[in-house]
Amino acid sequence: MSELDSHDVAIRCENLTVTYGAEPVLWNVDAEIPRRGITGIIGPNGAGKSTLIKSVLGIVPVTAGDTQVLGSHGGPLQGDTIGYVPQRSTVDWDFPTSVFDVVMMGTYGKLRWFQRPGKLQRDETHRALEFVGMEAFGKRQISELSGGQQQRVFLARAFVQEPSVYLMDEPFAGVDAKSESSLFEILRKLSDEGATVVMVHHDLIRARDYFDYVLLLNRRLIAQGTTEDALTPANLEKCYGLESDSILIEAKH
Amino acid sequence: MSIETWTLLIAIVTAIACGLCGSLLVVGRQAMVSEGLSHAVLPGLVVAFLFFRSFDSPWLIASAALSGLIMVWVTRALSDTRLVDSDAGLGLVFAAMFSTGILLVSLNLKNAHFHADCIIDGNLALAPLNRADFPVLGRVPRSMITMTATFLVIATFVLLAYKELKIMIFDPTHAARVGFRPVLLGYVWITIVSLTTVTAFDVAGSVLIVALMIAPPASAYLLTRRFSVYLVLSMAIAAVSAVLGFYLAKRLDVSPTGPVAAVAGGLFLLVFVFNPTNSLLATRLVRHRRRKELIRCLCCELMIGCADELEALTAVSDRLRIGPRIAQDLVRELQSRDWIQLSEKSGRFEMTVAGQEAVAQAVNCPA
Amino acid sequence: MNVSELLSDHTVRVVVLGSAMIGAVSGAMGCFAYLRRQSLIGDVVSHSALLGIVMAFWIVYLLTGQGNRSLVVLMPGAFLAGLASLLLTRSVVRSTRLKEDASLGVMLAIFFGSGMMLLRYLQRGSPPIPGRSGLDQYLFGMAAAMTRADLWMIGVVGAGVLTVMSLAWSRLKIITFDQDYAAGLGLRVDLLEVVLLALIVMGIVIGLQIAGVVLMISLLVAPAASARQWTYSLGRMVCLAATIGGVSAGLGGVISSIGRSLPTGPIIVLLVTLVFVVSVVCAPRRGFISRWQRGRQIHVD
Repeated sequence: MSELDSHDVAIRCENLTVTYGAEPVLWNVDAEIPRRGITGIIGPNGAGKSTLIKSVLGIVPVTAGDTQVLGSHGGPLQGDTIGYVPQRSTVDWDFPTSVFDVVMMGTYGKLRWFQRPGKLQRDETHRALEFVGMEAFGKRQISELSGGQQQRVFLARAFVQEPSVYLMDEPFAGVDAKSESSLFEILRKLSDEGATVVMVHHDLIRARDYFDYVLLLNRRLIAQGTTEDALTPANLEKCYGLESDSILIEAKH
Repeated sequence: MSIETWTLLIAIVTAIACGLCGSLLVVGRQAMVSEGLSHAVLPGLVVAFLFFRSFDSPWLIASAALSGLIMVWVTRALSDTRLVDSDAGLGLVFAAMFSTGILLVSLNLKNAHFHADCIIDGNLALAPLNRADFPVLGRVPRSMITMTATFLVIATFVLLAYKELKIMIFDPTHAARVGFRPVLLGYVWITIVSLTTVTAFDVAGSVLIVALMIAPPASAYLLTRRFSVYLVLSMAIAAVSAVLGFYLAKRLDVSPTGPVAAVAGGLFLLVFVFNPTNSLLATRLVRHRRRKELIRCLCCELMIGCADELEALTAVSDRLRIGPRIAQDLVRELQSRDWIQLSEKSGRFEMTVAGQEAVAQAVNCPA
Repeated sequence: MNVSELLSDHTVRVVVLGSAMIGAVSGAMGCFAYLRRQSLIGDVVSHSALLGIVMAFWIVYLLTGQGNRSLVVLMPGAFLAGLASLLLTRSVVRSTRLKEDASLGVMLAIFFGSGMMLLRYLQRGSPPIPGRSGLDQYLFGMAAAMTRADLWMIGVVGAGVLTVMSLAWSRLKIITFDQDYAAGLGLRVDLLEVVLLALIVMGIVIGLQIAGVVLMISLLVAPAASARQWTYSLGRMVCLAATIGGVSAGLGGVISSIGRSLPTGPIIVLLVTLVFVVSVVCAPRRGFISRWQRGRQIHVD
């Protein structure tokens, strides 16, 4: 495992342990995510990948341990340090609202209780839509979007916050191959401009192409490091168990 | 037999029929369909009554059951359009149908048997008075016969389709895989539920039907995991609710509807709070114990590599965010359990084989 | 009586104004219940409120020896009982393996069952409690029983609910749409959730006098479900639902005042259901007619 210098670390988890009800979802995870590059959190279903992201955001109660983001302790008031892109399937896409409105929600964190978004917020929203290439869709109903477009809207919503860290939960789930590669280009651009990009990814296909750094997770941290170092057959078998043979074959292609 | 005995008997049979019917609704996640049906049968009942001007006509039952089926069908068609979600659709349809029934009653049948209150309360008190001659049995209240017949229909259905019902309810994916698509079974079932609602409506009223169909099965659901036991228990709890509610009603001198429903609800509350396996208290207790066990395991892992007890104490109290006293107790307890020991070779804490096994078992994930 | 005579009648004016205000508030709050897919929860809360209404009446009678049916007494009771049923449902779902629909059904037995028991008990007991005969109007609603004092209460509570809603608008919108994201922004989701639930329960409780506990679900959900078909913006949906609720309830109040003994609830329910049916059939883009036309166009192409 490669050691990172402390000033190169964007997110650090120490002994992070999370339980739902009484079942452990994350167990004693010591992980470090570097500032530069794109990091993938990889593991089988139920491995606690989403939970890891949510504990860094401070939106699930942590049983033990600690998370730090850019040197300051994690918690519910991370505010605009982190841009969170939740799973697409967690919201009702038939909700009566427009693309522009959804993206503008990214500015709500800075608004006070009784404040409405104004010109400043609208300008920021326009810029974010432009960045993800959706400026023509502002007035569209969110129910009329394709999976890839929905994902871009969510990304723009996080972009509005001007965060230093992007935490994305399965951004490529249910997205066609073409949209996937154009989405990835946007992420690469964000990363090149200096943002930390972290994403949950549930399979190993193309993992080697996408990620500079990976965490292999199955409740415990199985391995972390550069993609070369961490994605070894031994680690994958430890993480995925018996299925790993077939997954490896797929991963090599 | 005295009128009171007949009333009690009718109440018990109604309760058992509703309990059996409801037990399948509860496991099939259709509990609120009974709330819809118990309201939606009213317009069918009223229309047929206006037409035939008699309560004893079998057409009343047919028309009301049809009215219930129409509600189910319209709700389903509405949610298939995806314009509204199925919960809202159910609510809109049954409220509209019930309103139609109430207005028909208020406009046409003032002071008749169909008083608006009776729709809610039912007519259990009057049920034993409406008798008819039956072969062999002699002069018996009609409700007794209809409710017994209803129960027998449901029971026959459950016995005949027992295996299919179990597959349909507990393993729908397997059922689909082996090509078992219970469309017909579903229709037969919903017709039976609608019929039960109709026959029970005159006796129990809309409140009590829902209460008896859902509360006793819900209690039974928390008490057992075996399907056959669950069915029997649902009926038993429903019958007990009927008996206790009946005497409570006599005590308060009110119609038995509210009391029987309240008793069924109260029994559920008792089960919910106190039953030994699946309740408010039991779940709390189990979670508390399990959490403590997990904390112990985590504590063990945190101690690994520490050079002495002081270092271990700091690590544990720091990471688990607990006071030094509690940390000390934990650290000592783990050592006395022989989960972790200071190794003489390395001079640091190392987990024993027993400790590793205990942690692996509790955490249940790859080490 | 013709319509102008009717509207100049003082009691009728009170009824129409009160009903319209109630309908508007319930319709607006219903949008949130509807979008959160909590329609049946609304049904259970309204049924459960009966216990609170009867309890409040009984407690005040035991304390003062007077039967008091004013909204100032009954509304807090209804609110507490409704909220209690909601919290108990949540507790059952969280700590047992029972599913939500069954848990909701059980609440009907517990709260509505004991509410009915207490209601019938108070109606039976002797000496008769003054004012008790009006209590069962809460089953199917009776707008005609509205007094001037009630009107004030409805006005104040309704204005309060709508004010809180519009002041916290952005936050209520974001937690209705995407709770995880709102939490990630650092918003106090738990607090907002309580505020929103309280507003929804208020929207239900305020409507009970005209719609009744049994039929309240319709006044709550039908305006929202209708408004949803016509618009694609939450703000416009809430305004439209408030209008539909207000007009239907006001009209229902008038109709029930003409035929004195007709309960208001069923009339209002049929009116809002009519609006719903028209919406589902005629609404542009989503409605049946527009779907059918599109289907034909595709066929021709």
